[in-house]
Amino acid sequence: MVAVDLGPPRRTAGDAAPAMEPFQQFIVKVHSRCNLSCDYCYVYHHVDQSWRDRPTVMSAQTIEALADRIGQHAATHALRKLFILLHGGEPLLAGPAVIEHVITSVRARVPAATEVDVSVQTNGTLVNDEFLGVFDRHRVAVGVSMDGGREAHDRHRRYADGRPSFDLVKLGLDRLKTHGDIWTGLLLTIDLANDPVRTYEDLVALRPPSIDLLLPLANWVHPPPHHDPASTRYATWLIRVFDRWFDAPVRETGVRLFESIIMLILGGASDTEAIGLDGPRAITIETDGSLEVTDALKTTAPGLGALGMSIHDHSLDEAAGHPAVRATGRGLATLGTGCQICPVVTTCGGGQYSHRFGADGGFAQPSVYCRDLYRLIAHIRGRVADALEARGRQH
Amino acid sequence: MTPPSAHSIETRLVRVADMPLDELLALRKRGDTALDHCLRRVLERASSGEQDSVAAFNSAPLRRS
Repeated sequence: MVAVDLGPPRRTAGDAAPAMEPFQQFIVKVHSRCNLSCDYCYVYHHVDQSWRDRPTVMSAQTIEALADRIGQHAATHALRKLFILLHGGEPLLAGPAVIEHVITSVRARVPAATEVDVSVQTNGTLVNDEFLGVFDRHRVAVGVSMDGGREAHDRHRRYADGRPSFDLVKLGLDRLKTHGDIWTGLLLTIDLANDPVRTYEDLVALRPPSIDLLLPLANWVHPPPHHDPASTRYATWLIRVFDRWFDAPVRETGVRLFESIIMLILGGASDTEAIGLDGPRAITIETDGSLEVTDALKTTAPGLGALGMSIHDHSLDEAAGHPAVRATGRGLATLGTGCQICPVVTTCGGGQYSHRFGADGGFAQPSVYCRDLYRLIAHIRGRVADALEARGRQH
Repeated sequence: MTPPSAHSIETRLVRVADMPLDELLALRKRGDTALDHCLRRVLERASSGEQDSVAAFNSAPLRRS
């Protein structure tokens, strides 16, 4: 492999502190409970316990208010496309009627020129014909959470009484596969205890269109499992998957994290807020209509993500102007000094915002995964450079 | 042929840092490796001038590609 000189950082888009930007991504908590009790869940097993005080399901009144607000926001900012992400808890617990109500209400309120892309992230255990009908009618993209094969998956993703969930999730996937392209992929939370290549191959065997590999939600106050600032075990895990995926003669599936890093290296954009300087422009709407910056802040400190605003009382423009929202905007100026001078910053982007939370209560630190991200990006950059140079020699 | 809008993309590869995207794209193979897929997506996005997409929220479902 060639040695890769990472060189000085290149300042591109995002140098200035981000101005107020309209939201384009709406994370809608249609249900605040879950039928599983995964031991790493950021909603139920982390520092923020606000779910206890929320209504279990989003009411019709809140859905109508939400649709009104999104419609106003789309019209004000002439949004050509927006993304509705139905989330929970487990969103399918809300039932097909509630999900259909959200979709039809929002689509009815936005200007005709605004495309509304709807997706749902589910644990996959509740997929039935009624839901499939809704997904088909409204072209909903369905993502399923799965951590690998049976052993890896059932290590964490269990019911509150300890029963495993793998078989029901597999059944849900089989049902989704019978309905065209509504199933869009699998989200996996990394566990270092699972063999990386075996985990990847177990997922690929299910033939997902795409997968993503999520670093456990963690930060400097609540570090990830097996965290050792002097080692890069998460990079080691990810690099083994990357090499297995990258070296396949035909692309077996998409991997959002890896493809985002490669596209950033090539001068393109990231598909995920986990990497890069492209912000998610996201807002979370809880079941009672209250507004939160991003769900992942539930892993930092109780109530840190709450704006003290509600769609019943505030416009989305007011929320977009809130200092806590503007602080999550991406850009070099929002990063700590160490990140700003780092040679991989335009690819890394400081990593995910919530991963930077420090003991001072702020986000000016590098990611708790800083060393892992640096090593992973350097590895991928080297592999891509080698591959392109090899092709150049053959050319 | 590479559309004009794609020529201005600055890659962040050091060993091929000065190679514009159209030259990188010329290195595409006819197959469908992961690298080919990424090259194609960068080109498509640059060609279309697409500004409508945003980086997904970390726990967002995968989008249709």
